[in-house]
Amino acid sequence: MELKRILLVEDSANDIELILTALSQNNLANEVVVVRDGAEALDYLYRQGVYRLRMEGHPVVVLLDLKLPKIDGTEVLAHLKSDTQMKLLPVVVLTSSREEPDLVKCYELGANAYVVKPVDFREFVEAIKGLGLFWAVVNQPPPGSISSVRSK
Amino acid sequence: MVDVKRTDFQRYGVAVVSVAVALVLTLLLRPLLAQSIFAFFIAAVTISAWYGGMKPGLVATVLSTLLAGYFFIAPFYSLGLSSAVSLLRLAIFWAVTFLISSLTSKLRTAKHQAESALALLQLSEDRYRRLIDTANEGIWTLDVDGRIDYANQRISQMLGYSIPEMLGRSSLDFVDQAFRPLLQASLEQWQQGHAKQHDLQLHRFDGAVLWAIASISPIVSSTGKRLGTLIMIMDVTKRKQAEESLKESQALFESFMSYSPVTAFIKDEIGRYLYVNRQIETLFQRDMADWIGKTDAELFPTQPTQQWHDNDVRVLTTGKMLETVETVLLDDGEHSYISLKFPLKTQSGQKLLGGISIDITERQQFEAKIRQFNQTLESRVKERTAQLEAANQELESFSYSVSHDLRAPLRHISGFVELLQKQLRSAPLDEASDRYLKIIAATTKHAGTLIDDLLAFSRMGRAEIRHTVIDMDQLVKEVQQDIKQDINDRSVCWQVEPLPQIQGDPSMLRLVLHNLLENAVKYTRQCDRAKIMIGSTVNEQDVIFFVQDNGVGFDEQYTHKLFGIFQRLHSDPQFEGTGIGLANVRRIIHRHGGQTWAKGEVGKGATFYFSLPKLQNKGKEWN
Repeated sequence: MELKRILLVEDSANDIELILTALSQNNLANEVVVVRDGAEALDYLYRQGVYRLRMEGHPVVVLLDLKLPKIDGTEVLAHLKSDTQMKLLPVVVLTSSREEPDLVKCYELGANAYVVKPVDFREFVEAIKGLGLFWAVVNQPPPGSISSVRSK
Repeated sequence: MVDVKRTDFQRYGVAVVSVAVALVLTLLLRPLLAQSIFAFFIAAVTISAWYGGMKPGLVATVLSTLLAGYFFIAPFYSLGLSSAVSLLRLAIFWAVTFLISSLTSKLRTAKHQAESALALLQLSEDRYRRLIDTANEGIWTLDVDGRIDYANQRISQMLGYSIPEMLGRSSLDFVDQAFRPLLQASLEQWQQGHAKQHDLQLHRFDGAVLWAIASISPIVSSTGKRLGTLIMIMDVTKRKQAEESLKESQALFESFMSYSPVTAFIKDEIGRYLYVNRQIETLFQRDMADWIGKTDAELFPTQPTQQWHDNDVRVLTTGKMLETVETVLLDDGEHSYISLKFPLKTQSGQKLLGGISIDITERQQFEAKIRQFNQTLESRVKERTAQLEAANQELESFSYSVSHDLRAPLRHISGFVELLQKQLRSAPLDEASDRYLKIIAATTKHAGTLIDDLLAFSRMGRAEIRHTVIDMDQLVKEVQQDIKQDINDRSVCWQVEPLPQIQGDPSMLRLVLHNLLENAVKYTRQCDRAKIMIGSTVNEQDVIFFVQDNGVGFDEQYTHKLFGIFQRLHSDPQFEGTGIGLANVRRIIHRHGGQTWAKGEVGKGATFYFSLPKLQNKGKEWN
């Protein structure tokens, strides 16, 4: 099973489609693995359950929605950031919530970024494109991530 | 006294000398005294007896007999007697002189006795006079007619009259009218050997009143005849005055205590009442007389007197005041009294117990009620707080849902509309369809803004205010920067006066300024020369900020609606808005302890004001 550079944790099919559409403008759509809830996200990252046969290594970034079935986004975040093996993995919270408590909580738990999904699609596309470009291309990921530059 | 002065030598010497003188005189005058040869000797014996008494008289008699016998009775110059006549003459002489001696001596003794009795009497009178004159009591003696015939020094001092002024007057003259009948009666109804005493009021010479105790006793002769009256007068004015003032102070104390709402009492060492006040009398419906001299146990067999007694004993043994609660059973049930018991001591050293008690039953009931009330209040507050907290929680999760779940579908609509438009770009759409898609996109965006504003509004209501000192000049500059893109290429003339510092929550006040400046920019959109002025004035307590524009203004009759949520005064599509901005401004300013208001006129611009409490020089805690 392949390891891809971006792990998108998102339960909404619409959002998945819109995000992938946005990322495709950077040619990053193929670099995305989509999981639909927090439990699946942890399975993927820890190579357990259906992902136990996945290739070794970490994605360069996790795009994490907060409101998720089973295990929600903050729990996933807390789990990752309290694990010495995982805490270096960049996690970007990508959510509809502008609520300050959510924002504060996520930063406290160690989120690397917090992005509110804009309602306006153009803004939304810009935001996602920027995110993809920064984390998957510009940013130097920590050791143990999927090996770097891949030709476009 | 005579005996003491005359020695035996003198007395007998006089006897001898007088006889010798008689002898010499008789020798010299013998021719003349032939027939009465004893004449001088009789005189000598008489002198001797008078001077020395019986015995010297007898000595003179013997000597005279011997000498006369020797010298003048024949045979002369011998003691022998020549005849019976001579013997008889001597015998007669002897008898006569013996008689003279004896009588003279008796006379002399009687005289002595009389003299010494007189002296004693004198002494006694002196003593009594001194006694009477220096006596502490004033003394009058009255004659049978009731007139003063003697007055001592003391009464003269007492009444201010000289003694002669009093003599001869009636004692009644000096007595107050009201007391005269009493004295009169007492003077008339005398009874031998019985003294009477009266309290009298006398008048001094200077008009002052003198209180006296007069002791009246009759002076009666040995035969029982009344000779007069003795009146002894003791000045008791001071004592009377002290008594009067004591009485007065006692009466004052009594009436004072009778108004006292507290019960008061004094007991002796073994718990017998010496005093109780009116209040305690009424409380137990017993007269004071009933109380005096009795103990609690005797008075109230059915009362819980043991606790009272124990407290009394404690105070008397420790000598310290005790404040305690005691219970009393009354008709309407048990009453609680807070009692203050304290030791008292009389001048003679007798230990007493004083006490005052206040009925606190009602107070206790009130206190219990208040306690109960407080408890229910507390639990009610807790209940309400819990309800409020639950409601808040609900609101919180509601806003969260609104924020998250409502925005997501909007995003999706807008996203897919956009994608659809892109998709259709290759095959151009008819104008109407294109317009519909644009409307869908714009409306979706508006719905998103609405949600954001609504969330901000709700957040401003709930968020805690974080006070810091804010530089308003700086804040205005920042907000101007924020809304730059709204201005685009329009020319706006900003006129910003220097603004004072203020205390408040920076993010909230920033939102206030943002809303007001954004509005000003928005509503001057149609002006050729948009002019926005920002300034402030200061009054006693507050700083008043204002934002003035020369835009479209508003109809003043709707001023009251300006700051209401979802209230909009412009339907013109170019003044887009959610109707939440000014509501948010008002809410934030209110939470900072300030006010908002606005003035405007259609077509002539608007001015929005908000006040904030002045920055205190010291102590920033004003929230």
